[in-house]
Parts: sequence; C-alpha cells; structure tokens
Amino acid sequence: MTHCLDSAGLIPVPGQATVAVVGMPNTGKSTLFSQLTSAHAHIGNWPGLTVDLMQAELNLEGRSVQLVDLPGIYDLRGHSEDEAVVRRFLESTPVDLVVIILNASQIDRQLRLALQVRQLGLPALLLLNMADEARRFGVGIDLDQLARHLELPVLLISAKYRQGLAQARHAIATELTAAEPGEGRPVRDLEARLAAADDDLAGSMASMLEAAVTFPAQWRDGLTRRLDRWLLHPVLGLPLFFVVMALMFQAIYALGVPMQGALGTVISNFSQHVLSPLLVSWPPFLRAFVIDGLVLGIGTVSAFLPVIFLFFLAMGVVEDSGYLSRAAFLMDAFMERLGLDGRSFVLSLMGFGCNVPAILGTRVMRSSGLRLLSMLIIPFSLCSARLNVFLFMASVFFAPRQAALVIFGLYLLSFGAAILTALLFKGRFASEEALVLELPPYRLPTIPQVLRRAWAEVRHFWFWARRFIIFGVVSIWLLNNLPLGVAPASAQSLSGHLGELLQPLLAPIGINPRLTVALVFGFIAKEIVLGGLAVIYGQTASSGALGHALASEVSWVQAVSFMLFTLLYTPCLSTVAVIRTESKQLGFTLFSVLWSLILAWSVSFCFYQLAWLVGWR
Amino acid sequence: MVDLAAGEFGTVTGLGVEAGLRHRLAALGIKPGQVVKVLRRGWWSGPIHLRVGMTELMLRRVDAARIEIRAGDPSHLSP
Repeated sequence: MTHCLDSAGLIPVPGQATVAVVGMPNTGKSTLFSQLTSAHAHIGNWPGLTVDLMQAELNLEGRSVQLVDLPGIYDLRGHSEDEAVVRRFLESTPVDLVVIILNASQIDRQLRLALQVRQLGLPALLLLNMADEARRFGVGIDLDQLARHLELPVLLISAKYRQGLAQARHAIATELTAAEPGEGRPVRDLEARLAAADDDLAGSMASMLEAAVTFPAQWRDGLTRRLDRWLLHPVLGLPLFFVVMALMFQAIYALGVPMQGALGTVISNFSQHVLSPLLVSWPPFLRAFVIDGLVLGIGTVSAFLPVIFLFFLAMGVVEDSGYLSRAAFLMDAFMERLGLDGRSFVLSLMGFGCNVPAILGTRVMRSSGLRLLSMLIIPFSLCSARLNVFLFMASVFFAPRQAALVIFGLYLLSFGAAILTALLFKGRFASEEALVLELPPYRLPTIPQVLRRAWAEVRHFWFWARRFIIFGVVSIWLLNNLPLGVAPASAQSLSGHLGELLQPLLAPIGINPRLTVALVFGFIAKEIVLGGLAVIYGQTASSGALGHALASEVSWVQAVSFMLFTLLYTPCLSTVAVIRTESKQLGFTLFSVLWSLILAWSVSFCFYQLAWLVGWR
Repeated sequence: MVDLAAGEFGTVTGLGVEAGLRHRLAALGIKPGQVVKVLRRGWWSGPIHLRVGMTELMLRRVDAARIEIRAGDPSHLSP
C-alpha cells in the first residue's frame, strides 16, 4: 500500500517502527524502496525525480514497519527544495532507523552523506548499492573496516539485480530489535549540529576512505568511454541522437497505433452490443448522453493508453540507460541561448509523445523562471494526438508526396513555435540556475524495472486525467445536443450557435462554422477532433466518406490553416490542468492558453491571407 | 576550470560560487584539493564534461569559470 503524504505529515502508529530511506539521487534508492515494499515507486537516472514522499507498510520478521522514501538529496545542508524537505522531515518526525543508501562505486564522494546522518545521532544503517558497478569499475570496499570506522552496520547490495536484499531486511530488523520502537525522536538543532561538525567532515571522510576503500589506478569504464566517443561526438553526436529518437517514435507508432485501433474497436463493440441493449429502456436523451457522450469520450481516451504505455516504456529505457543526460549535454549550448537548458530540451522531446508527462518532468528544475518557461514551450511539441489529425487531413487534401512534406513542415513549425516563444519570453522568466548534471555510466535497464515504471506512469495518468476528461466530454456533448430536440451539432444546437458566434474571429483564417465546432472539440483533447468531424459531417473517418465530405466543402488552403491552428493552440485540457497544478499559478496558466491561441490565430491568419493574395484557393 | 582543454587535469583551489551551489558541487565531489579531468568541451561554447573521482559531470562554462583551478598533470588519478 503506497500513498503520498506531506513532507511533515507522518503520524507514527504506536508499536510501529518508522524507518526513513535517505540517499543521493542516482543511487537506485527508489528501486530499493520498491524492491523492499513491492510498491510502485518511480525511479529514474535523473537526479531528484522523487518529489512526493512515498511510504509503505511492511512486515519485517514479525515487526510492523513504516518505510518512508525521502527525496534524493546531495547534502543535508544543501539549499534545494528536496534538501529542505528532508531536514523538515527529520526535525518533525520520530524516526527509529535511517537507512542510508549510497552508490558503492561513488563512495569517494557519497560517504559524506552517511557521515552527516551520523552527526545527527540517529540510529542508522548503511547500504552500498550498485555492487555490480563497483566491481565493474574496480572499487574495492572493506566492509568490516568501514563499519568499524563509521560505527554503523554496512552492507553491499545490488537492488537492480536483487542481490543482498534478504540480508538488508534482516539487518533492518536486527537494528530495530536493538532499539525500542517509539524510542526515536525528532532531531533537535539539526542545522547547528551539522554546522558544528562540518570542519571535521573532510578529514574523517579521507581517513575512512584511506582505511577501507581501494580505487582503481585507471578509470575502467571502457564501455562508457567508447560509447561517449560516438554519442557525444562534436559533429555526429546530435544527428545520431535524432536518428535514435526518430526510430523510437517510429517503433512506438508502428506498435501503438494498431493496439489503439484494436482497443477502440473493443470499446465501441462493448458500447454497441452490450451497453446499448442494457440502456434500451432509458429516456433517449439520457441514453445518448451515456453512449455518445460519456462512453465515446472515455473510450477515445482509453484507447490512447497503449500508446502512452509504449511511450513511457521507450522513454524509460532511454532514460535509465543514461542517454537522456547525454542529450541534455548535446543541446545545452543551443538551449542556453533561448534562456533554457539541456533538461528543457529533453522534456520538449518527451512532449512529442505526450505533453502531460513532459510538463510533470519540469519538477527537476529549481528555478521557477526556468520551470515556467519550459512549461510554456512544451505544449508546442507536436504530440501523437495531433499527429493523428494531421495524418488524416494531409491524406485527404494532398498527394502522398506532398502530404509527407506537409507533415514534415508541421514538425518544423512545432520547433519554430517553441523557439520563438522562448526568445520572446526569456526575459520575463529569467533564470540564473546553474546547470550541474551527473552523466551516469551507461547502464542496461532490466525488463521488470521499465515495465513496472511504465505501468505506474499509465496508472497515474489515468487516475488524474479521468475526472477532467469526463467533465470536458460531458460539456461538449451537451453543447452539441441542447436545446432538446435539435439535430446533434447542427446550426440550431448550442455548439452551432457557438460556431456562428465565432465566425467574425475565425472566418479571416478560413475556419467555417463546422470546423469551428471541431476546434471546440479539440480544446478538450486532439484525440476527439477526428471523432468530432465525423459527428459533424455525419460520416465515419475510416470509410473515406468523411474525407470526401470534407474536401467537397473545404479548400486545401483552409485545411492547412486548420492544421496550423490545431498544431499551435492549447493541446488539450489535460495539459492545461497539469500546467495549473505544476505552476500553482492560475494567471500563468491563463497566459499560456492565451499565448498559444494568439500565436495559432496569427500564424493561420498570415498563411490564409497570404495564400488568398497569391491567388491560392 | 573553463580554460582547461579536453584531456587536461587540474586541481581545484577555490570556489567562487554562492553557498547553495558550493554545497551541491562539494556533494558531487568538486571541492578544494580535488583533482578534475576535462573529458570534452561541448560544441558552440557548450558545457564541459568532466570527471571528478569516480563521478562524471557536465557543467556550464559560465559556472566552470567560477571554479579556480591549478592546471597540471596529477601524479594520481584516484581521489
């Protein structure tokens, strides 16, 4: 059982021991946590991804233990938000045992954190993780010596390969037996204690390392060295990266789109053959509301879940392998000139799958200016939902070769809009944040690890997106079907009136009332645009009838204008919601929506009017 | 540090950065007395890729410029 809690909100249960897990980012801390608890904790090769505290109850040799996963921190005296969270936690919560987890191969610098915990006088236990890497890199650790110097139990484990976990559990249980449960106390004068001992830290660390650890005379990670020679190559590095990404997206669509189709068919069959007969006695309005509103809307989004799952699976592999940090290195110079940094680039890239997780990913940034500017550009990433619309429209209005060029042009425009936005607003969202990132050695992610993570991400996405999507779908359906008795989405319906109402604004960019209604659908989610057009024109998209109906009424210039607008305006309500929750600023959220609408309208206007002047119709 | 070429070593002599970054750098292994090696410098004045002890890092040049260093070949690689 896992749930999030506030940094200082843990209430100890009588008779239950509280064990806190403390460690640096990139040490496999979250992997260990999920291995110990079988819980779904998020792990990543990127420093500082764990933001909410995770806790789980577990039974250790008959004793009930509350295990709390604290955020990865570099330094108990550090100035980051996470570091403050850990300090607040230790000052406010009685802890019976602190489990310190360090990367064994980087003990030369990480031992510092163990020494800081010891200075606090808390009962502690040291786990040296990534035993496999320490072996690979030739770092030898004399555990007995280290334990004697630290006066703490020390164990060597590999959480990823499940080595030493049983011993670790046993050691935790033994330490808890030695102390009475409930004896733990919150730390008093934490800052003062740490400051007082800071001067001795370097000296005692050096003498301990001298006594207990042997380092290789030469850096041994030949694999990383060889890979970096190519992957970080000054000329070839970036093209190679883009090729890898292109292949990855290809694979996601090649696998995901048929899965999406199959799931969509299952859901529509269920709605048609199971749900419809069941609701036959309901009043028609209510029945249509459930079937054509609720089920159609939720079905469209659920069908999208396989693509999201695959996307996170692929992204998990790239991220856990250590390649994403390299992308940050390669692109940082360019991004710096846009007022952003290498991490913003990586997140925009994730946005090409889905904008929502990309915006969640900005949590790794400390400076609020940098975070907000990143959130402002991510929605311009041409996500897979928009690609669906473009693939369909391009195939209706253009010959295959031209269609490919149109799609390619839209991708270029997507980058262009992000770059323009950053250049325009970098002054308003200035950031002085220094960029110091670890470049971890290349690692082979394990299958259970990436599967578990992708599953957790999908569950998380579904959990919070659900309510929001239901609300949006319901309102759109009502707009289309009220007042009672009108033909759905007709000129007499509310959405028809809306289409007419918006004509003064949208006619100059070539959007007719019917297309306007589709754009209103698209505000909820781009997944609904095609379905919306199908309802409006009364034709299904798959048979080709919708294409004919569209082409008979809309010129290719109008179609391109529609695509430009669709690319640039608000991607979906989910993205708006996540910008709202992550920025915690309503004003910024409105600004982001408004800016994307202004940009979309201006680009479509320029295109449509120019095309008109040139004589294209 | 910003003046070290790829492949060169240096010993950190001082950190001209504010407290927050100094703590972060120290935790990542960059502190006075520590030997660092520049592995590569990014294109277009991009970040510096360096190795400190058993850790590899990227650091922007503007930040690296604030780290004082005594250039030179170290007799030892290990920390």
